[in-house]
Amino acid sequence: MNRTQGRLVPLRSFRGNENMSFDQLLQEIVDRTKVPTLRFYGWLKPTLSLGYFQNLSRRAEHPGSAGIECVRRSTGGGALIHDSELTYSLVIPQAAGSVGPRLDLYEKTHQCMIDTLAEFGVFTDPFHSLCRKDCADRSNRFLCFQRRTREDLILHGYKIVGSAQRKSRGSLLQHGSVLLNSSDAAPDLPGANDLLSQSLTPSEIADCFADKLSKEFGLHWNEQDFCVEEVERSQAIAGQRFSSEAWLNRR
Amino acid sequence: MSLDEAGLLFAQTHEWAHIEEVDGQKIATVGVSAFAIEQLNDLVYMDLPEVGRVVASGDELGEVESVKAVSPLYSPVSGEVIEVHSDLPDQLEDLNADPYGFGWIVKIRLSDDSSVEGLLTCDAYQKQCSESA
Repeated sequence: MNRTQGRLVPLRSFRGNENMSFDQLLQEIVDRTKVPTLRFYGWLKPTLSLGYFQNLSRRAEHPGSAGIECVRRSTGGGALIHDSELTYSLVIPQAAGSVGPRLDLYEKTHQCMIDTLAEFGVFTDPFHSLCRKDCADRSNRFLCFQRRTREDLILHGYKIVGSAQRKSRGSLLQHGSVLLNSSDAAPDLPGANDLLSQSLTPSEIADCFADKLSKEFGLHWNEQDFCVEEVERSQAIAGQRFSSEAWLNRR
Repeated sequence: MSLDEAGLLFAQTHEWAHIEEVDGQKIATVGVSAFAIEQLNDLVYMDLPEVGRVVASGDELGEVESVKAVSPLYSPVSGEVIEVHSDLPDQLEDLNADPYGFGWIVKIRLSDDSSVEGLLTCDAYQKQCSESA
């Protein structure tokens, strides 16, 4: 089978503002090149990421994370505490006339994650398979992992995988988190390792997930880390946006 | 009062425009099409521009969030934003029911008639939607 060539940016850890800048950089690149791109990353320091439309003042609702770094995402949804987790971003080209969220992308990627985790003995369910009729959660709770949407993955009643999206003129970015261990900043949100007394690592999940996505979307991943020019561009994005107080305080 | 969809012009990016002449100036009332609102699926947030902002056709005009996805809205015409429907972000649930009436987003004083020339008629837009569905 002929597979479309895709780019795989290997797992590395950065600060929150750098991670968000690299994701925006990848969206800019895919807008231009139309090459589907998958990236895995971790977080050098525990970081709270606000959803794009959330007010910064809502941090007061979660005192446990008051002392950690904070960045505003470009994607929607609630705030996340990134600490011991695997984060992925997937950027795919989009036709000019496409509109709205790609629900099918949430569904397909999360099915790949269900299959991935199952290979390690972690059996999750999408939230829609556990709720009766209306899955919509209008609670607007501050933390993403305290909310539930249809495709969130649930383990023993706890959400351990959630994703969000950002559209641009020619592509769609979806990034999401797989919670492995609870953070000291949010000890009431357990990860897969806490719930199953396992010791899953980000890299083993990343490798398996990349393979599942490759099969699902007919993609062949070519590993390619960021080059010097791309790092420089991401630093410029950070300066204009994700490291900027104005961006953080915009709401 | 709702506008007749058949008389509107549409951008490929799903914004509609109703052009009228007021005191010798062309004013576009702009909103998001019924098709797009349905696809956007349960809007929860909307950002609108400030009055006075000058936009070119295709520039970002605002942003919306639905199902944890942030999507830009684009201006279908070039000109200056002269009025903003500031009640709309707090009443997004009403947008579904009346996209061509209550659902107007901004009014733009046209600076350049040629920006209207690239817009689609309702029939052409419906064809685009049916092909992408």
